[in-house]
Formats: sequence, structure tokens, C-alpha cells
Amino acid sequence: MKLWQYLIRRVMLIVPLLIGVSLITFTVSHLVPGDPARLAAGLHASPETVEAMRHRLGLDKPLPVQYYLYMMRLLHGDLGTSIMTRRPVIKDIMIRWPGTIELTTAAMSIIIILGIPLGVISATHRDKLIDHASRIFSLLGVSMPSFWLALILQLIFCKYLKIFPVGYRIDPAIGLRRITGFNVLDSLLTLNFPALVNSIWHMILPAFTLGFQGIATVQRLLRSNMLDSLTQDYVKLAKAKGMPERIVIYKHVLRNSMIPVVTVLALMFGGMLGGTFIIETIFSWQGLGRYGASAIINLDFPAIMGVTLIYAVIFAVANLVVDILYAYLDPRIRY
Amino acid sequence: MPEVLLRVKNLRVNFYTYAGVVKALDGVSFEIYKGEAFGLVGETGCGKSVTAASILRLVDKPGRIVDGEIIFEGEDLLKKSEREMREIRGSKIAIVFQDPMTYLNPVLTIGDQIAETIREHQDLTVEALEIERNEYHNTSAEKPSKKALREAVLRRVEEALKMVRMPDPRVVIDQYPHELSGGMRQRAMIAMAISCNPKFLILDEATTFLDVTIQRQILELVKDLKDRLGCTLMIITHDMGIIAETCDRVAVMYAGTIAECAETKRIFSKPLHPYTRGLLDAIPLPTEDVKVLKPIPGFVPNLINPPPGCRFHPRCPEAMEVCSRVKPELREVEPGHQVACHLYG
Repeated sequence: MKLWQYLIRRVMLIVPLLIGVSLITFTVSHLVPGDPARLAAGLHASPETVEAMRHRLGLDKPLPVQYYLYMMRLLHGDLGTSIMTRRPVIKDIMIRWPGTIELTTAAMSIIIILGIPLGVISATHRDKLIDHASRIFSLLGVSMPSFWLALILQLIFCKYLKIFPVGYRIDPAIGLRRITGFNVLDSLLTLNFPALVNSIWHMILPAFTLGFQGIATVQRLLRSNMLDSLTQDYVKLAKAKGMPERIVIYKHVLRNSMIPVVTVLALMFGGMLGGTFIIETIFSWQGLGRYGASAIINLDFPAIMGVTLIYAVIFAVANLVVDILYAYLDPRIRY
Repeated sequence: MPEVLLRVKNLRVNFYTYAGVVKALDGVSFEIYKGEAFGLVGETGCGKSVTAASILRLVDKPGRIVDGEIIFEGEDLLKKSEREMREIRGSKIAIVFQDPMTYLNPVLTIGDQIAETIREHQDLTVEALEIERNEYHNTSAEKPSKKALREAVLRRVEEALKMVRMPDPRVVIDQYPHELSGGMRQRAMIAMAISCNPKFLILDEATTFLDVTIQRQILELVKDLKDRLGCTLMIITHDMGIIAETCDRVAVMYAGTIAECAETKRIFSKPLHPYTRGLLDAIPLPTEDVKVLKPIPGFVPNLINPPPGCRFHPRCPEAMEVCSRVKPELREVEPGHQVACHLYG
């Protein structure tokens, strides 16, 4: 099978995935106790107003009917109207998704840029001081909860050292014309360098917090994979051919050891999407995570559904990218 | 007297394990003459592969070469720096290992794996310049371009694959190990080993994992390559049949020592050491009606606590009182025939 045939098949598989995800989210979110009509109408509204609101939101119909109507509208690109913002959910999402993608991409880059070299150094300097140091660092990484780390980092870097800003994606005083919604991309497109620096500056703390556990995971996994790979026969042959240490490590060992790491990176991406709910809220980051978190608090069904579906799509696409990368790394895998 | 290419003298290798010190090689000595095929035969765990690894100075931790000399072309390899050793590995001394599936890197193409050896050890400037002149019509070039260098390496890779009679060398260059059959993989590993024209080629159980027909083809190929390249061979095996077919001289190893060393014909016609005799008796002859195989009684000794004196004496049918006390030295009992046994003291 050719690669593009495989791609088409995989993209088509996203459809049943979305149906499954929507069904589960729809059921679960409607089983949560609480009355969205009451929340939407306001705490002091009369029972009649609440009933009218319930009817307007379509919440008085049986669940299967509600689901059917929702899916019908979804086919037309209509995700419903948010109960809390009273705007179409699709519009809310369009405004916010670049922020989340920007944040997770930055976190992923930090994981790759720090995690892989740390893993290589640990493996090549096994049981030396630098190995112990990087293992302690990664132990801290896996054991620190991210909401706690976020608060501590804010305290140190924002309150006391005053190096980084506390929240938001960009300083509101800096005008940036919105083209794609990605601040970094927009500031590059408009050649607005103060905005570029400022938005990267805002991104560092939340992205680091989001990626910190990932750095640790990648470091530990790569270290153990490389140590295992170093004892393999093909390493012995490479040495017997007179290959310098550098080539043995970076060509023969690293490539073989990266295959499982790539899989974990994909899973981690899913975990990070979940993590954005917390991180975006703490850092007042305008993205889907923060939107989703407040949607859950306000029992805003259309918004919850919308965010979940978009996350499912992003996750599926990330997995697809990783699977293609996999085939590039491991020639034994062919589609 | 033929010229000596490699002389191993009193080589001792220990492995420092948690259970104790394993004396894997306990004073191994032998000589290999230029142009010959030398066999190293013995049971599993007797130290054949450790000997090969020592020659390349690639004994893995927790092993260490503790004593001895390995003189190659008049120079002691044990005194060389790691950098000097790296230049020798793969270019002057090459090795072919037993299992081509695990020894070839699964994520690199065959061509890439051969090419890296050539790039590391060979200066292809002249060949690349020729390509530059003849193919790209660039007569003024003083330094070959990257493209010409790549082409020169590629040609050498193809040449090496043709040398080992690889079917479709141009296709194989871009293939990965898992796409080849066992015999082809072993051919690829041999191509890698001979790609830099080594003077000394070690075959460490190179045919053990192959079925007999392929084994036969590979042995024929190796003999042919030895004549064409004029290299010296060291063939490590546990198979007396392979020794009989391919080797000029042979050393029989037992528990980290050399028991006997002589011309192959002589070992088969007039074995002296009781272990050698036991090994040869254990081979079932097609002319006899074999009902029961004749094994050597007992087991290979534990090398953490090897038997004192001659390491073979607990299993030896002709053991004497002295054998358990004094370790027999390897002595020349007849010209070209050495044996380490008190029977011939």
C-alpha cells in the first residue's frame, strides 16, 4: 500500500472516532448533576424563566433526540451556541485554538530540545556525576504536579525576580494585527519584532510548566533505550568496523533508541492537551483549555462538546504525524 | 619458515563478575602465518570469541585483558592507543560475526553500512577526482566535489558486493537487513569486512546460523576471497568439519587454554591431546553403523573456580597424578605440532 492510500484511510478513520467521542461526551456531560438552564437563566430567575430557557436551549427534549439534533447541526458546521458566552461555539473555538496549538507546540519543542540531549548525555556518561544530576532533575520532573510547579514558577519568576509576565499571551499594549491567530506567526508576517519577542516571552513559563514532565519522561526513556541499544550486536559490529564513538552513538544507537521515544511523544501530546486545562487557567492563557475548563464549571454543554471534539481531531492528527514519522525511523514498518 | 602475521603470547583475559573472577583466557599463545587459514576450534564458552575480541581490543566490560602480547605486523596491539586501534579495526583487521540479523543495524541500509566503513578508512580523493574529470568533465577541479566523492564510495560499495557475489548489488545497496535472506545478509556482512581490503580477516562462527547449503556457499566464497585478496584468515568454529575443509592449521581450545596446535591434516591423522582425540571420536563416521554417539564424559568446567593443574584432567581418561597439580605448558613435540599435556612431557 502506498503512503497516500494509508493517509486517506487514516483520515477517514477520524470520522467514526469523532462519532464515538461525541456520543461519550454527550452522555457523560448530561449525566453530570446540575441544571444548565438554571445557570443560564441566572440564580434569581423565576421558574417560568428557567423553563423558557430550558425550552430555548432544547434541553426539554429526550436525550437521544437532543443528540440527533446536535449531530445534524454538527454536519453543517454548527456546534451550537455557548451558554456562557452566548456566541456560537465555533466562533469561540476559532478565536482560541491557535493559542492552545502555540502553547503545546512550544512545550513539545522544549521537551525535544531538552529531553533528548539529557537522555543522550545520561546514557553516554552512565553513573557519572552528570548522569546522576540529570536523573535527579527528571525525578523532580515526574514527581512535581504541574499546577504546583506553575504557581511556584510564577512566584519566583514573576513576583520576586520579575523576569517573566504572569499571564496572557501578549502584552495588551502591543498592537498585533490578527491574521492566523498564532501570535508568533502573525508577528513574523507583519514584521512586528517587539510583538514576536513579547509573545515568546509570555510563552516560556507556561510552555515549560506544561512540558516539564515530558522532559523527564523522554530523558528516562531515552537513557534506558540507549543503554540497552549500546549492548546490541550491531554496536559491536560498528565498533569492530572502526567507527568513531560519535558515529556509533548518534548514528547507530540513537536512531534505534528514538523509535519508542516517538511513540511516547505522541501519547504525551494527548496528555498535554489535557494539561492545557490547568496550565491555561493558571496563566490566564487565552486558549481552548481555559475555555473548556470554564465551560465545565458552567455546565456549558455545547462548549464542552465543541472543545472535546476539537481536541479529538488534534489528537488524531498528532497520532497520524507520529505514525508517519515512525515509518521514517524504522524501515521495518511499511504501510 | 613462513612469515608470522599475528603472534598471540600468553594472553590472559578476566571477567570481573559479581559471582567472582572468570578467567576466560588463561595464557593463550599461538601464531598465525601470512596467507594461511588458521582455525580455532573448541566447545561453547572455551574462549574462542574472547580471543577474537581481544585481537580487536573489543573485550566488553566487565572483561579485561590483564596480561600478554598480541603482535600484529611486528607491533603490540595491546600497547596501541584507542585511536590507533580504531584505524586498524575494519581496515587491517576485519571480522565477520555469527548472526547477520542482529549484527547488522536494522534501521540503516546495507549500502550505508558498507559505505561508512569505506568512508572511515579509505582516502578516495584520487578515484573521486577521476570521476570528476571523466564523468562531470570538470578537468580543473583540484578537490573532488561531494557528489564525486559520494559516487566513488558508491562504486566501492558495489564492488565489494560484487566480490561476495551478491545477486543484484545495485538493488541491495538500498535495501534494509530485514529485506534480505540469511545467506544474503551474511554476504553483506562479509562485503563490509572486505570493503577495505583487510590483511587479516576473522570469521567468528560466521556460518553457524546458516543452513548447510548456504554454509557451503559461504565457505566456498571465503576460500575464494582469501585467494583473490591475499588475506590471512582466522576461522573460529565448533565444527570440526569446517576446520577440515577450510583450514591449513588449527588450534584446539579448551576452557581458556590452547590444548593442541598443528597442521589440520596432522590433527586429524595423529591427534595427541586426549581432548582432541575425544572431540574427533565424538564425530559419527558415515562408514560406521552408529547407534550411540561417543561424548566426552563430564562438563566444561566453571571458569570462576577452574580445576587446578590441567583444566581438562577431571574429564581426561588418561589423567595422572601430576595433572591435578601442575599446569602443562604448550610444548612443541614434533616440528609444527604443539601440545599442552603431561603425557608428552
